Amino acid sequence: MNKQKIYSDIENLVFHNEIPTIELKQWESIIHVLREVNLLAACYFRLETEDKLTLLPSFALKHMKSAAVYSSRQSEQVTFECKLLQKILDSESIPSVFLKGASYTLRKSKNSQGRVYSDIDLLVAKKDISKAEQALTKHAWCSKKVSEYDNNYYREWSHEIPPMFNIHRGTVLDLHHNILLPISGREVNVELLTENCQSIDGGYTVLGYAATILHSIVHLIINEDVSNGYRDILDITTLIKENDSPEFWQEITLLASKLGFNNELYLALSLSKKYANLTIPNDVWLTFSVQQNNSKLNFLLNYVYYFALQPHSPAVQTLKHKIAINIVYLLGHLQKMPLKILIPHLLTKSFFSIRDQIFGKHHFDK
Amino acid sequence: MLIDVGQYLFRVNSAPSIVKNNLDLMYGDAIIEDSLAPADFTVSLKHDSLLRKFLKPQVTFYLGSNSPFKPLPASQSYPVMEWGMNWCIAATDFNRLIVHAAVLVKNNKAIVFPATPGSGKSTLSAYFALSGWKLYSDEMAIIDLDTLQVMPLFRPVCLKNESISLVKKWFPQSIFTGIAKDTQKGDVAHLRVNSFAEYQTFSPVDVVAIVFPKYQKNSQTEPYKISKIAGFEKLAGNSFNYNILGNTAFDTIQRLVEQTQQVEMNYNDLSDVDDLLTSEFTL
Repeated sequence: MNKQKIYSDIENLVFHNEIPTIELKQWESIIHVLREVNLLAACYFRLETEDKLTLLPSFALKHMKSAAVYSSRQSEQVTFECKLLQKILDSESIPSVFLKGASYTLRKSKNSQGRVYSDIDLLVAKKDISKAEQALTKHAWCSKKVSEYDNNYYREWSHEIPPMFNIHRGTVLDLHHNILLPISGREVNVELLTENCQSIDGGYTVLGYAATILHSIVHLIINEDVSNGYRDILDITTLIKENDSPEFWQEITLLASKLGFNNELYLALSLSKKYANLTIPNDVWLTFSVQQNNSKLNFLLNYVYYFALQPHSPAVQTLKHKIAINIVYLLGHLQKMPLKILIPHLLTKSFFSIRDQIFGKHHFDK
Repeated sequence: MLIDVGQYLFRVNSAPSIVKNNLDLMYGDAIIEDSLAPADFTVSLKHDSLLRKFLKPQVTFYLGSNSPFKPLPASQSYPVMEWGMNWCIAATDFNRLIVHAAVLVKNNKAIVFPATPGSGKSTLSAYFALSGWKLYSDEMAIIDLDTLQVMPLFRPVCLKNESISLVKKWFPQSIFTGIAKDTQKGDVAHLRVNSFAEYQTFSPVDVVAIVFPKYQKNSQTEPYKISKIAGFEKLAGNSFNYNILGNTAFDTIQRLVEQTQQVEMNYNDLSDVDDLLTSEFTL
């Protein structure tokens, strides 16, 4: 089976819940790719909702079901950790907002079903970040050991502190004070983003839906690492479908233009349209006339992001995917940092990467 | 290269030739060129870096394009492959309860030997498997959540340190890989105990007992029953996926403990253990 065919079967399955009519043996690549992009469990729940699980061959079903068991356990764990985190920060009177994956799970949005996490993301005000870090340290959350270079990078330039982890359970926490690197020159006015925060069951605070989706979009587009891009675009598409209303569209376009993320919103919506046939209201589409005529942006859309976000798996990747991923890597860095910071940063990173290629990745581990 | 280990089908994409030779030796007819069935896992064992191919060579195990472990010295290649395959099963199969244990079957009744420290689980597996018992697994008991039956796996026994020469002495005809020195588990060699044709006659069976053996020099082989609660705790503690399966695992282990006996046993001589279990459980 050629890569193009495997990919189109995967796209139809992931975004349209269409079960491919293929020979049993051909399910191998599909299941392996879905495993690599962490979408086995998401497919399970999406097909379950449409009553289509019985149409799967038992090979595919057993792998999806197993992944679903794992993701359900993770979702319980995330809920449990959020409860404890909330308690710790409340006791110090530090207001906090759960972001990304954790917020999907806490508000039980459709895309949270079957989602797997590597960490919990939490936003606090910049002035509270040291206090929050100290409070968490008292409750068995430790900073992950990072190299001195990385630690300085985080503290000096980043919008978050080095990841923390719980010494008993190993859960990883990313504590943010902003959603973008301050040095990107596009420091986000967090207040605009948190303006319409929602309080949800359990006393948690999460961003409003429009802000949640915009955050997800910014995180996807302004990023050098798009290895989870396929999952992210599914998140975005599912969240939009769940909230599709004139008010929602008005809110998200307004927020994007206030924060200066019109291009990113245009890219993400266009990608959702390409992968998932997302319907975007005409009047919303009309507001993107500048972007539609921006040839550079449309090149990025059609030849870079469209390929770079597809599953990073040898079973479907060709040269054009790899080139696209490399362009995104450079762009992601360029967007985050001015050149005078970026060049030394990349030189340092590439020194370590070349060193690791020669000596093996863990040769210098302590 | 495809390997049918019974419950799972592995596609080996690339591996050093020494590993392929050992796979041939250990799996024999379970290695198939092609199959109508899809493989559950695509695995490979690769040299870590160009320079490292020649200087203190290391290998890394991959499931797809992810590697779960740090690279290890190339001299340990074959054990790394086997441990990687174990990892694939333990890290992705949440459809069954998987207990870190040896499973031996006689007269269609299974005894599960959880891998408690000092149990001599693998030595016991090798001895029993070469003395008329059927080895369902040396490493993991795969237990169906509904029927509570244990499933057979076709995998070699992983022997460590002194037990390698012991088993070679007891069974001079046995089929071993070479010895990988100084691994994290000491010296390691793998042993093949069945042909694939023999394995194919194995079917899922009921568990009659959970036995926690403890090797003790100069002791009398003496079994004593332990409480259901102690049995539960030990079984849960040795389960790879207890914390992922949550309630389901709790219920499954509870039912398993209720329908089986849990026995602790000091032993000095494996043939005594064989006789004792055979008469105790009318095997």
